[in-house]
Amino acid sequence: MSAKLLARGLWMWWLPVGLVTFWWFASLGTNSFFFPPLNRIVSVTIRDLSSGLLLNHLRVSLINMLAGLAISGVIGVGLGLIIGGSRALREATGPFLNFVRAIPPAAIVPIIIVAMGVGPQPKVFLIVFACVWPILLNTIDGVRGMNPQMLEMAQAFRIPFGLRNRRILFMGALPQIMAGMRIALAVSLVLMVISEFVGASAGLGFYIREKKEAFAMAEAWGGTLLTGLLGYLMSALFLRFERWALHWHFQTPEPGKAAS
Amino acid sequence: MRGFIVIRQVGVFLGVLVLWAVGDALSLFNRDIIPSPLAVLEAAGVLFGRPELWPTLWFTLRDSLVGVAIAAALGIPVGLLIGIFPKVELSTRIVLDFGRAFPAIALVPVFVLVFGTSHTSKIMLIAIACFFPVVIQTIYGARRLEPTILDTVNSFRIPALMRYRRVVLPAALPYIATGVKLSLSISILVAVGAEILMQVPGIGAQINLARTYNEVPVAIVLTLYAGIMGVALSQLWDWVEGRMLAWHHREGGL
Repeated sequence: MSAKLLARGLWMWWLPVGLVTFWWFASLGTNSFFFPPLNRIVSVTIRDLSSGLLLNHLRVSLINMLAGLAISGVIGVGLGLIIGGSRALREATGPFLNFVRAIPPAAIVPIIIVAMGVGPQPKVFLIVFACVWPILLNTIDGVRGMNPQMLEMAQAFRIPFGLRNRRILFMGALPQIMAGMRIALAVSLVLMVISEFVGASAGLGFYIREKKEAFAMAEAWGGTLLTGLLGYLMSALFLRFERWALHWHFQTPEPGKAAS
Repeated sequence: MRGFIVIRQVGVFLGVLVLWAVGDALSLFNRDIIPSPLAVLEAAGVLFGRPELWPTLWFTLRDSLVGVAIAAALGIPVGLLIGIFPKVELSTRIVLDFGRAFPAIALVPVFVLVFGTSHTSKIMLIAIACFFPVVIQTIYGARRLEPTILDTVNSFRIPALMRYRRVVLPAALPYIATGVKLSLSISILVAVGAEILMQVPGIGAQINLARTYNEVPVAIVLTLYAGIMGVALSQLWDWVEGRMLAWHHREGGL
Protein backbone atom coordinates (compact mmCIF):
# COMPACT_ATOMS: atom_id res chain seq x y z
CA MET A 1 0.00 0.00 0.00
CA SER A 2 2.67 2.49 0.96
CA ALA A 3 4.73 1.53 -2.08
CA LYS A 4 1.69 2.31 -4.18
CA LEU A 5 1.31 5.65 -2.44
CA LEU A 6 4.96 6.42 -3.01
CA ALA A 7 4.68 5.65 -6.72
CA ARG A 8 1.66 7.91 -6.93
CA GLY A 9 3.54 10.70 -5.19
CA LEU A 10 6.46 10.28 -7.57
CA TRP A 11 4.18 10.45 -10.60
CA MET A 12 2.51 13.56 -9.24
CA TRP A 13 5.67 15.46 -8.39
CA TRP A 14 8.26 14.59 -11.03
CA LEU A 15 7.02 17.16 -13.55
CA PRO A 16 6.62 20.24 -11.32
CA VAL A 17 9.88 19.51 -9.50
CA GLY A 18 11.61 18.79 -12.81
CA LEU A 19 10.36 22.01 -14.38
CA VAL A 20 11.49 24.18 -11.47
CA THR A 21 14.85 22.41 -11.28
CA PHE A 22 15.32 22.86 -15.01
CA TRP A 23 14.47 26.56 -14.77
CA TRP A 24 16.78 26.95 -11.78
CA PHE A 25 19.83 25.43 -13.49
CA ALA A 26 19.15 26.65 -17.04
CA SER A 27 18.89 30.25 -15.81
CA LEU A 28 21.88 30.01 -13.48
CA GLY A 29 24.39 32.76 -14.25
CA THR A 30 22.41 34.20 -17.15
CA ASN A 31 22.84 37.88 -17.92
CA SER A 32 19.44 38.21 -19.60
CA PHE A 33 17.65 41.31 -18.40
CA PHE A 34 14.18 39.98 -19.16
CA PHE A 35 14.61 36.49 -17.72
CA PRO A 36 16.76 36.85 -14.60
CA PRO A 37 18.07 33.68 -12.96
CA LEU A 38 15.48 31.91 -10.81
CA ASN A 39 17.78 31.89 -7.78
CA ARG A 40 17.87 35.69 -7.90
CA ILE A 41 14.08 35.91 -8.26
CA VAL A 42 13.66 33.65 -5.23
CA SER A 43 16.27 35.45 -3.14
CA VAL A 44 14.89 38.97 -3.77
CA THR A 45 11.36 37.72 -3.05
CA ILE A 46 12.48 36.15 0.21
CA ARG A 47 14.38 39.35 1.03
CA ASP A 48 11.26 41.50 0.49
CA LEU A 49 9.07 39.02 2.32
CA SER A 50 11.27 38.87 5.39
CA SER A 51 11.68 42.65 5.51
CA GLY A 52 7.90 42.83 5.91
CA LEU A 53 7.42 45.01 2.81
CA LEU A 54 5.94 42.34 0.58
CA LEU A 55 4.12 40.74 3.50
CA ASN A 56 2.32 44.03 4.09
CA HIS A 57 1.32 44.29 0.41
CA LEU A 58 0.08 40.70 0.57
CA ARG A 59 -1.99 41.48 3.65
CA VAL A 60 -3.63 44.53 2.01
CA SER A 61 -4.52 42.50 -1.09
CA LEU A 62 -5.87 39.58 0.93
CA ILE A 63 -8.08 41.78 3.10
CA ASN A 64 -9.59 43.47 0.02
CA MET A 65 -10.20 40.09 -1.60
CA LEU A 66 -11.78 38.48 1.43
CA ALA A 67 -13.96 41.52 2.14
CA GLY A 68 -15.12 41.57 -1.47
CA LEU A 69 -15.80 37.84 -1.49
CA ALA A 70 -17.74 37.98 1.78
CA ILE A 71 -19.96 40.83 0.55
CA SER A 72 -20.56 39.13 -2.80
CA GLY A 73 -21.40 35.90 -1.00
CA VAL A 74 -24.05 37.57 1.15
CA ILE A 75 -25.60 39.50 -1.77
CA GLY A 76 -25.29 36.67 -4.30
CA VAL A 77 -26.68 33.92 -2.09
CA GLY A 78 -29.42 36.12 -0.60
CA LEU A 79 -30.70 37.32 -3.97
CA GLY A 80 -30.12 33.91 -5.53
CA LEU A 81 -32.35 32.14 -3.01
CA ILE A 82 -35.14 34.67 -3.57
CA ILE A 83 -34.89 34.61 -7.37
CA GLY A 84 -34.28 30.88 -7.57
CA GLY A 85 -37.18 30.10 -5.26
CA SER A 86 -39.73 31.65 -7.59
CA ARG A 87 -40.14 30.33 -11.10
CA ALA A 88 -41.60 33.58 -12.41
CA LEU A 89 -38.72 35.68 -11.06
CA ARG A 90 -36.18 33.19 -12.36
CA GLU A 91 -37.52 33.25 -15.89
CA ALA A 92 -38.05 36.99 -16.00
CA THR A 93 -34.56 37.92 -14.79
CA GLY A 94 -32.65 35.27 -16.79
CA PRO A 95 -31.66 37.28 -19.89
CA PHE A 96 -30.91 40.40 -17.89
CA LEU A 97 -28.58 38.59 -15.49
CA ASN A 98 -26.84 36.85 -18.37
CA PHE A 99 -26.22 40.18 -20.03
CA VAL A 100 -24.89 41.86 -16.90
CA ARG A 101 -22.61 38.93 -16.27
CA ALA A 102 -21.08 39.30 -19.74
CA ILE A 103 -19.99 42.89 -19.04
CA PRO A 104 -16.22 42.76 -18.50
CA PRO A 105 -15.63 44.09 -14.96
CA ALA A 106 -12.17 45.22 -16.02
CA ALA A 107 -13.83 47.83 -18.24
CA ILE A 108 -15.16 49.82 -15.31
CA VAL A 109 -11.87 49.75 -13.39
CA PRO A 110 -10.61 53.13 -14.72
CA ILE A 111 -14.00 54.79 -14.07
CA ILE A 112 -14.25 53.47 -10.52
CA ILE A 113 -10.63 54.18 -9.59
CA VAL A 114 -10.80 57.77 -10.82
CA ALA A 115 -14.16 58.38 -9.14
CA MET A 116 -13.45 56.63 -5.84
CA GLY A 117 -9.71 57.15 -5.37
CA VAL A 118 -6.87 54.77 -4.64
CA GLY A 119 -8.06 53.48 -1.24
CA PRO A 120 -9.51 50.05 -0.49
CA GLN A 121 -13.19 50.94 -1.22
CA PRO A 122 -12.94 50.98 -5.04
CA LYS A 123 -11.11 47.64 -4.97
CA VAL A 124 -13.69 45.98 -2.76
CA PHE A 125 -16.45 47.50 -4.90
CA LEU A 126 -14.89 46.14 -8.10
CA ILE A 127 -14.38 42.69 -6.60
CA VAL A 128 -18.02 42.62 -5.46
CA PHE A 129 -19.22 43.85 -8.86
CA ALA A 130 -17.38 40.98 -10.55
CA CYS A 131 -17.91 38.20 -7.99
CA VAL A 132 -21.63 38.63 -7.35
CA TRP A 133 -22.64 37.15 -10.73
CA PRO A 134 -21.04 33.71 -10.55
CA ILE A 135 -22.38 33.26 -6.98
CA LEU A 136 -25.84 34.60 -7.84
CA LEU A 137 -26.24 32.53 -11.01
CA ASN A 138 -24.94 29.37 -9.38
CA THR A 139 -27.27 29.82 -6.42
CA ILE A 140 -30.23 30.23 -8.78
CA ASP A 141 -29.12 27.11 -10.67
CA GLY A 142 -28.70 25.21 -7.44
CA VAL A 143 -32.21 26.05 -6.24
CA ARG A 144 -33.65 25.24 -9.66
CA GLY A 145 -31.91 21.87 -9.70
CA MET A 146 -33.40 20.86 -6.36
CA ASN A 147 -35.92 18.11 -6.06
CA PRO A 148 -39.30 19.86 -6.52
CA GLN A 149 -40.80 17.53 -3.93
CA MET A 150 -38.83 19.32 -1.22
CA LEU A 151 -40.28 22.67 -2.25
CA GLU A 152 -43.78 21.23 -2.38
CA MET A 153 -43.27 19.76 1.03
CA ALA A 154 -42.18 23.14 2.38
CA GLN A 155 -45.27 24.67 0.83
CA ALA A 156 -47.57 21.99 2.21
CA PHE A 157 -46.23 22.51 5.71
CA ARG A 158 -46.40 26.30 5.26
CA ILE A 159 -42.81 26.76 6.30
CA PRO A 160 -42.16 30.52 6.61
CA PHE A 161 -40.22 32.25 3.81
CA GLY A 162 -37.08 32.99 5.84
CA LEU A 163 -36.89 29.54 7.37
CA ARG A 164 -37.53 27.92 3.99
CA ASN A 165 -34.73 29.93 2.39
CA ARG A 166 -32.23 29.22 5.14
CA ARG A 167 -32.95 25.60 5.92
CA ILE A 168 -34.19 24.12 2.66
CA LEU A 169 -33.11 26.20 -0.32
CA PHE A 170 -29.70 27.14 1.08
CA MET A 171 -28.80 23.60 2.08
CA GLY A 172 -30.15 22.16 -1.15
CA ALA A 173 -28.24 24.64 -3.28
CA LEU A 174 -25.07 24.50 -1.18
CA PRO A 175 -23.04 22.33 -3.59
CA GLN A 176 -23.78 24.77 -6.43
CA ILE A 177 -23.18 27.78 -4.17
CA MET A 178 -19.76 26.35 -3.36
CA ALA A 179 -19.05 25.93 -7.07
CA GLY A 180 -20.00 29.58 -7.56
CA MET A 181 -17.75 30.65 -4.69
CA ARG A 182 -14.88 28.73 -6.26
CA ILE A 183 -15.30 30.65 -9.53
CA ALA A 184 -15.66 33.91 -7.58
CA LEU A 185 -12.37 33.20 -5.81
CA ALA A 186 -10.49 33.13 -9.12
CA VAL A 187 -12.37 36.20 -10.36
CA SER A 188 -11.58 38.15 -7.20
CA LEU A 189 -7.86 37.49 -7.70
CA VAL A 190 -8.04 38.87 -11.25
CA LEU A 191 -9.91 42.00 -10.16
CA MET A 192 -7.60 42.49 -7.20
CA VAL A 193 -4.59 42.48 -9.51
CA ILE A 194 -6.11 44.73 -12.22
CA SER A 195 -7.39 47.33 -9.77
CA GLU A 196 -4.02 47.47 -8.05
CA PHE A 197 -2.27 47.89 -11.40
CA VAL A 198 -4.49 50.83 -12.34
CA GLY A 199 -4.42 52.79 -9.11
CA ALA A 200 -3.18 51.80 -5.69
CA SER A 201 -0.64 52.69 -3.07
CA ALA A 202 -0.36 49.20 -1.62
CA GLY A 203 -1.01 45.60 -2.58
CA LEU A 204 0.55 42.81 -4.55
CA GLY A 205 -0.38 44.39 -7.89
CA PHE A 206 1.07 47.70 -6.78
CA TYR A 207 4.34 45.96 -5.85
CA ILE A 208 4.64 44.30 -9.28
CA ARG A 209 3.86 47.53 -11.08
CA GLU A 210 6.25 49.60 -9.00
CA LYS A 211 9.07 47.12 -9.59
CA LYS A 212 8.30 46.99 -13.32
CA GLU A 213 8.47 50.77 -13.56
CA ALA A 214 11.84 50.69 -11.79
CA PHE A 215 12.95 48.00 -14.28
CA ALA A 216 13.60 45.67 -11.33
CA MET A 217 12.89 42.57 -13.36
CA ALA A 218 13.65 39.95 -10.70
CA GLU A 219 11.27 41.61 -8.22
CA ALA A 220 8.53 41.96 -10.87
CA TRP A 221 8.84 38.25 -11.74
CA GLY A 222 8.85 37.38 -8.04
CA GLY A 223 5.64 39.32 -7.39
CA THR A 224 3.99 37.72 -10.42
CA LEU A 225 4.93 34.21 -9.32
CA LEU A 226 3.79 34.99 -5.79
CA THR A 227 0.38 36.02 -7.18
CA GLY A 228 0.13 32.65 -8.90
CA LEU A 229 1.15 30.86 -5.73
CA LEU A 230 -1.47 32.81 -3.79
CA GLY A 231 -4.15 31.75 -6.27
CA TYR A 232 -3.03 28.14 -6.10
CA LEU A 233 -2.98 28.05 -2.29
CA MET A 234 -6.33 29.80 -1.97
CA SER A 235 -8.07 27.44 -4.37
CA ALA A 236 -6.46 24.41 -2.68
CA LEU A 237 -7.61 25.70 0.72
CA PHE A 238 -11.09 26.38 -0.58
CA LEU A 239 -11.32 22.86 -2.01
CA ARG A 240 -10.52 21.51 1.46
CA PHE A 241 -13.16 23.77 3.00
CA GLU A 242 -15.68 22.73 0.37
CA ARG A 243 -15.10 19.05 1.03
CA TRP A 244 -15.50 19.65 4.74
CA ALA A 245 -18.66 21.74 4.35
CA LEU A 246 -20.23 19.30 1.91
CA HIS A 247 -19.20 16.05 3.55
CA TRP A 248 -22.88 15.16 4.09
CA HIS A 249 -23.46 15.74 0.39
CA PHE A 250 -20.73 13.35 -0.68
CA GLN A 251 -21.77 10.75 1.86
CA THR A 252 -25.39 10.36 0.79
CA PRO A 253 -25.57 9.45 -2.89
CA GLU A 254 -27.93 12.02 -4.45
CA PRO A 255 -30.59 12.24 -1.75
CA GLY A 256 -33.11 13.89 -4.07
CA LYS A 257 -33.01 11.26 -6.76
CA ALA A 258 -33.02 8.28 -4.44
CA ALA A 259 -36.34 9.39 -2.98
CA SER A 260 -38.25 9.87 -6.21
CA MET B 1 -47.62 31.49 -22.35
CA ARG B 2 -44.24 31.71 -24.04
CA GLY B 3 -44.96 35.27 -25.16
CA PHE B 4 -45.86 36.21 -21.63
CA ILE B 5 -42.38 35.20 -20.41
CA VAL B 6 -40.69 37.30 -23.08
CA ILE B 7 -42.79 40.30 -22.04
CA ARG B 8 -41.68 39.86 -18.45
CA GLN B 9 -38.06 39.44 -19.51
CA VAL B 10 -38.20 42.67 -21.50
CA GLY B 11 -40.00 44.17 -18.51
CA VAL B 12 -37.00 43.47 -16.28
CA PHE B 13 -34.72 45.39 -18.66
CA LEU B 14 -37.20 48.27 -18.81
CA GLY B 15 -37.67 48.20 -15.04
CA VAL B 16 -33.93 48.55 -14.49
CA LEU B 17 -33.90 51.44 -16.97
CA VAL B 18 -36.73 53.16 -15.10
CA LEU B 19 -34.97 52.64 -11.74
CA TRP B 20 -31.82 54.08 -13.27
CA ALA B 21 -33.68 57.15 -14.61
CA VAL B 22 -35.58 57.72 -11.34
CA GLY B 23 -32.43 57.26 -9.27
CA ASP B 24 -30.64 59.72 -11.49
CA ALA B 25 -33.47 62.26 -11.29
CA LEU B 26 -33.31 62.03 -7.50
CA SER B 27 -29.49 62.32 -7.85
CA LEU B 28 -28.94 59.12 -5.89
CA PHE B 29 -25.96 58.17 -8.05
CA ASN B 30 -22.56 59.71 -8.40
CA ARG B 31 -22.58 60.85 -12.03
CA ASP B 32 -18.86 60.18 -12.31
CA ILE B 33 -19.73 56.49 -11.99
CA ILE B 34 -23.33 56.20 -13.20
CA PRO B 35 -24.23 59.01 -15.62
CA SER B 36 -27.85 59.68 -16.57
CA PRO B 37 -29.45 57.29 -19.10
CA LEU B 38 -29.97 60.20 -21.49
CA ALA B 39 -26.28 61.10 -21.38
CA VAL B 40 -25.40 57.48 -22.15
CA LEU B 41 -27.86 57.39 -25.06
CA GLU B 42 -26.41 60.62 -26.39
CA ALA B 43 -22.88 59.22 -26.01
CA ALA B 44 -23.93 56.15 -28.01
CA GLY B 45 -24.94 58.50 -30.83
CA VAL B 46 -21.72 60.50 -30.60
CA LEU B 47 -19.65 57.33 -30.54
CA PHE B 48 -21.52 55.96 -33.55
CA GLY B 49 -20.42 58.99 -35.56
CA ARG B 50 -16.75 58.56 -34.65
CA PRO B 51 -14.62 56.77 -37.23
CA GLU B 52 -12.56 54.94 -34.62
CA LEU B 53 -15.53 52.93 -33.27
CA TRP B 54 -15.46 50.07 -35.80
CA PRO B 55 -11.67 49.52 -35.75
CA THR B 56 -11.84 49.56 -31.94
CA LEU B 57 -14.50 46.85 -31.78
CA TRP B 58 -12.74 44.88 -34.51
CA PHE B 59 -9.37 44.88 -32.70
CA THR B 60 -10.92 43.49 -29.52
CA LEU B 61 -12.95 40.90 -31.43
CA ARG B 62 -10.09 39.82 -33.67
CA ASP B 63 -7.50 39.46 -30.90
CA SER B 64 -9.99 37.57 -28.74
CA LEU B 65 -10.79 35.13 -31.52
CA VAL B 66 -7.12 34.61 -32.41
CA GLY B 67 -6.33 33.99 -28.74
CA VAL B 68 -9.15 31.44 -28.41
CA ALA B 69 -8.05 29.73 -31.64
CA ILE B 70 -4.49 29.35 -30.33
CA ALA B 71 -5.78 28.12 -26.96
CA ALA B 72 -8.03 25.55 -28.65
CA ALA B 73 -5.32 24.39 -31.07
CA LEU B 74 -2.96 23.71 -28.16
CA GLY B 75 -5.47 22.85 -25.47
CA ILE B 76 -7.53 20.17 -27.22
CA PRO B 77 -4.61 17.81 -28.02
CA VAL B 78 -3.09 18.37 -24.58
CA GLY B 79 -6.45 17.73 -22.93
CA LEU B 80 -7.00 14.53 -24.94
CA LEU B 81 -3.54 13.25 -23.99
CA ILE B 82 -4.15 13.96 -20.31
CA GLY B 83 -7.67 12.55 -20.41
CA ILE B 84 -6.65 9.31 -22.12
CA PHE B 85 -3.51 8.40 -20.14
CA PRO B 86 -3.94 8.31 -16.34
CA LYS B 87 -0.16 8.58 -15.86
CA VAL B 88 -0.07 11.81 -17.84
CA GLU B 89 -2.97 13.12 -15.76
CA LEU B 90 -1.13 12.36 -12.52
CA SER B 91 2.07 13.95 -13.83
CA THR B 92 0.47 17.18 -15.00
CA ARG B 93 -2.02 17.61 -12.15
CA ILE B 94 -0.02 20.07 -10.05
CA VAL B 95 1.20 22.11 -13.02
CA LEU B 96 -2.37 22.27 -14.35
CA ASP B 97 -3.81 23.28 -10.97
CA PHE B 98 -1.24 26.03 -10.71
CA GLY B 99 -1.95 27.21 -14.25
CA ARG B 100 -5.70 27.39 -13.84
CA ALA B 101 -5.42 29.28 -10.55
CA PHE B 102 -2.95 31.74 -12.07
CA PRO B 103 -4.53 35.06 -13.12
CA ALA B 104 -3.10 35.61 -16.63
CA ILE B 105 -3.65 39.35 -16.30
CA ALA B 106 -0.97 39.46 -13.56
CA LEU B 107 1.56 38.83 -16.33
CA VAL B 108 0.87 42.22 -17.94
CA PRO B 109 3.72 44.22 -16.36
CA VAL B 110 6.27 41.50 -17.11
CA PHE B 111 4.92 41.08 -20.64
CA VAL B 112 5.06 44.82 -21.26
CA LEU B 113 8.79 44.82 -20.51
CA VAL B 114 9.60 41.56 -22.29
CA PHE B 115 7.36 41.74 -25.38
CA GLY B 116 6.34 45.40 -25.43
CA THR B 117 2.81 46.80 -25.63
CA SER B 118 1.61 45.05 -28.74
CA HIS B 119 -1.24 42.99 -30.14
CA THR B 120 1.08 39.98 -29.76
CA SER B 121 1.32 40.53 -25.99
CA LYS B 122 -2.45 40.86 -25.78
CA ILE B 123 -3.09 37.73 -27.85
CA MET B 124 -0.58 35.74 -25.79
CA LEU B 125 -2.33 36.76 -22.56
CA ILE B 126 -5.72 35.78 -24.00
CA ALA B 127 -4.34 32.44 -25.21
CA ILE B 128 -2.84 31.67 -21.79
CA ALA B 129 -6.08 32.56 -19.99
CA CYS B 130 -8.20 30.48 -22.40
CA PHE B 131 -5.85 27.48 -22.59
CA PHE B 132 -6.78 26.06 -19.19
CA PRO B 133 -10.58 25.99 -19.52
CA VAL B 134 -10.20 24.23 -22.89
CA VAL B 135 -7.79 21.66 -21.42
CA ILE B 136 -9.95 20.99 -18.36
CA GLN B 137 -13.14 20.52 -20.36
CA THR B 138 -11.35 18.29 -22.89
CA ILE B 139 -10.07 16.11 -20.05
CA TYR B 140 -13.62 15.74 -18.69
CA GLY B 141 -14.80 14.88 -22.18
CA ALA B 142 -12.14 12.27 -22.85
CA ARG B 143 -13.04 10.58 -19.56
CA ARG B 144 -16.77 10.52 -20.15
CA LEU B 145 -16.63 7.54 -22.44
CA GLU B 146 -19.24 4.99 -21.47
CA PRO B 147 -17.80 1.64 -20.31
CA THR B 148 -19.98 -0.26 -22.80
CA ILE B 149 -18.49 1.70 -25.69
CA LEU B 150 -14.98 1.09 -24.36
CA ASP B 151 -15.73 -2.64 -24.03
CA THR B 152 -17.02 -2.75 -27.58
CA VAL B 153 -13.95 -0.94 -28.89
CA ASN B 154 -11.70 -3.29 -26.94
CA SER B 155 -13.40 -6.48 -28.03
CA PHE B 156 -13.27 -5.45 -31.68
CA ARG B 157 -9.57 -4.62 -31.23
CA ILE B 158 -9.95 -1.26 -32.90
CA PRO B 159 -6.44 0.16 -33.50
CA ALA B 160 -5.33 2.89 -31.08
CA LEU B 161 -5.16 5.76 -33.55
CA MET B 162 -8.54 5.04 -35.06
CA ARG B 163 -9.97 4.63 -31.60
CA TYR B 164 -8.86 8.12 -30.58
CA ARG B 165 -9.98 9.76 -33.79
CA ARG B 166 -13.29 7.99 -34.19
CA VAL B 167 -14.36 7.16 -30.65
CA VAL B 168 -12.69 9.31 -28.00
CA LEU B 169 -12.66 12.60 -29.91
CA PRO B 170 -16.34 12.53 -30.94
CA ALA B 171 -17.37 11.57 -27.41
CA ALA B 172 -15.34 14.48 -26.03
CA LEU B 173 -16.62 17.02 -28.57
CA PRO B 174 -19.61 18.32 -26.56
CA TYR B 175 -17.29 19.01 -23.61
CA ILE B 176 -14.67 20.61 -25.85
CA ALA B 177 -17.45 22.83 -27.22
CA THR B 178 -18.28 23.91 -23.66
CA GLY B 179 -14.61 24.68 -23.06
CA VAL B 180 -14.46 26.86 -26.16
CA LYS B 181 -17.64 28.65 -25.12
CA LEU B 182 -16.15 29.42 -21.71
CA SER B 183 -12.97 30.62 -23.43
CA LEU B 184 -14.91 32.94 -25.71
CA SER B 185 -16.34 34.90 -22.79
CA ILE B 186 -13.04 34.81 -20.88
CA SER B 187 -11.22 36.10 -23.97
CA ILE B 188 -13.29 39.31 -24.11
CA LEU B 189 -12.68 39.91 -20.40
CA VAL B 190 -8.93 39.43 -20.73
CA ALA B 191 -8.77 41.43 -23.97
CA VAL B 192 -10.46 44.46 -22.40
CA GLY B 193 -8.34 44.15 -19.25
CA ALA B 194 -5.13 43.92 -21.27
CA GLU B 195 -6.15 46.88 -23.44
CA ILE B 196 -6.81 49.00 -20.37
CA LEU B 197 -3.51 48.09 -18.74
CA MET B 198 -1.31 48.18 -21.87
CA GLN B 199 -3.11 50.81 -23.95
CA VAL B 200 -3.18 48.44 -26.94
CA PRO B 201 -5.84 49.48 -29.53
CA GLY B 202 -9.27 48.06 -28.68
CA ILE B 203 -12.29 48.71 -26.48
CA GLY B 204 -10.19 48.93 -23.29
CA ALA B 205 -7.82 51.56 -24.68
CA GLN B 206 -10.79 53.67 -25.85
CA ILE B 207 -12.32 53.40 -22.37
CA ASN B 208 -9.07 54.77 -20.97
CA LEU B 209 -9.16 57.64 -23.46
CA ALA B 210 -12.80 58.41 -22.70
CA ARG B 211 -11.89 58.46 -19.02
CA THR B 212 -9.02 60.91 -19.53
CA TYR B 213 -11.28 63.21 -21.62
CA ASN B 214 -13.83 62.97 -18.79
CA GLU B 215 -16.36 61.29 -21.08
CA VAL B 216 -17.77 58.76 -18.60
CA PRO B 217 -20.94 58.13 -20.69
CA VAL B 218 -18.77 57.13 -23.67
CA ALA B 219 -16.82 54.74 -21.43
CA ILE B 220 -20.12 53.23 -20.23
CA VAL B 221 -21.32 52.74 -23.82
CA LEU B 222 -18.04 51.01 -24.71
CA THR B 223 -18.38 48.79 -21.64
CA LEU B 224 -21.90 47.81 -22.73
CA TYR B 225 -20.59 47.07 -26.24
CA ALA B 226 -18.01 44.71 -24.75
CA GLY B 227 -20.83 42.99 -22.85
CA ILE B 228 -22.95 42.71 -26.00
CA MET B 229 -19.95 41.28 -27.83
CA GLY B 230 -19.57 38.60 -25.18
CA VAL B 231 -23.27 37.65 -25.29
CA ALA B 232 -23.28 37.65 -29.11
CA LEU B 233 -20.21 35.41 -29.27
CA SER B 234 -21.64 32.86 -26.89
CA GLN B 235 -25.03 32.88 -28.69
CA LEU B 236 -23.23 32.42 -31.99
CA TRP B 237 -21.24 29.56 -30.53
CA ASP B 238 -24.44 27.89 -29.27
CA TRP B 239 -25.75 28.04 -32.83
CA VAL B 240 -22.53 26.65 -34.32
CA GLU B 241 -22.47 23.92 -31.70
CA GLY B 242 -26.09 23.04 -32.38
CA ARG B 243 -25.31 22.51 -36.05
CA MET B 244 -21.98 20.74 -35.59
CA LEU B 245 -23.14 18.48 -32.83
CA ALA B 246 -26.63 17.87 -34.21
CA TRP B 247 -25.95 14.12 -34.09
CA HIS B 248 -25.13 14.38 -30.40
CA HIS B 249 -28.28 16.26 -29.46
CA ARG B 250 -30.40 13.92 -31.59
CA GLU B 251 -29.13 10.88 -29.80
CA GLY B 252 -29.63 12.61 -26.48
CA GLY B 253 -25.96 12.36 -25.64
CA LEU B 254 -23.53 9.51 -25.94
